[in-house]
Amino acid sequence: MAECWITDQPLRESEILDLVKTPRAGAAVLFIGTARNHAEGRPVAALEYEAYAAMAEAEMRALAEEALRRWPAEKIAVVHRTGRLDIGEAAVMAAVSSAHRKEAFEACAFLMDALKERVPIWKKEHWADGGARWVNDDQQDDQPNKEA
Amino acid sequence: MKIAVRFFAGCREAVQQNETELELPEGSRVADLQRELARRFPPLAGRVERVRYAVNGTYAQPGDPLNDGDEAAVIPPVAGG
Repeated sequence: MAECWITDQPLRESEILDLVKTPRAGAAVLFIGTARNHAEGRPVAALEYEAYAAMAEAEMRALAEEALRRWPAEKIAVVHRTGRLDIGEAAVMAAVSSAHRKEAFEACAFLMDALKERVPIWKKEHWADGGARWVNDDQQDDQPNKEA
Repeated sequence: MKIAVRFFAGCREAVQQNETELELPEGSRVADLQRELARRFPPLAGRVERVRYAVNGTYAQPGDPLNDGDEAAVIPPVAGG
């Protein structure tokens, strides 16, 4: 069982963990990705996330189903936020429950690695000095950011 | 045939629009869509070979066929998490 969605609202750990609760589980692993105040040595003031929401949710569900096939996990929940995030706010949460901890850790790590590789979500770093860039996009010419 | 095309992130900013509609000849494939995008949107010319494409919400290959009414998307390098 997997619940995966995109939201522009703040993420709540308790909601995600509740989704993976089951009496069959002896372990629940929760990964939280948060907005960090630096990138490659440069101070970051805020992050902005954009998603192709319908496809992102379908891709996250496909990843969760793959994880459930590869590991004896019980339940999975993955949520990613969009919009502008302050430093310290959660951008993504991935939770996995399983009978024993090893498979929950491994499945959760797989989910996050695969999410970064193929789920259509984009991150823009807004730097403290006023510039900005889309992460991983080396074709852009919008530095410094004139919108800021 | 008419194909709706959505743009995201750096590509959206490069073309300064969220979406457009393209008229393509019957039998066109994703590679034809790439060429038409490069022709219609000069800021995409350096990108069309380097981004991924989706058709109706699924990643597509250059040889995949297109059909009237499809929703295509230009997917620049992703960076979730």
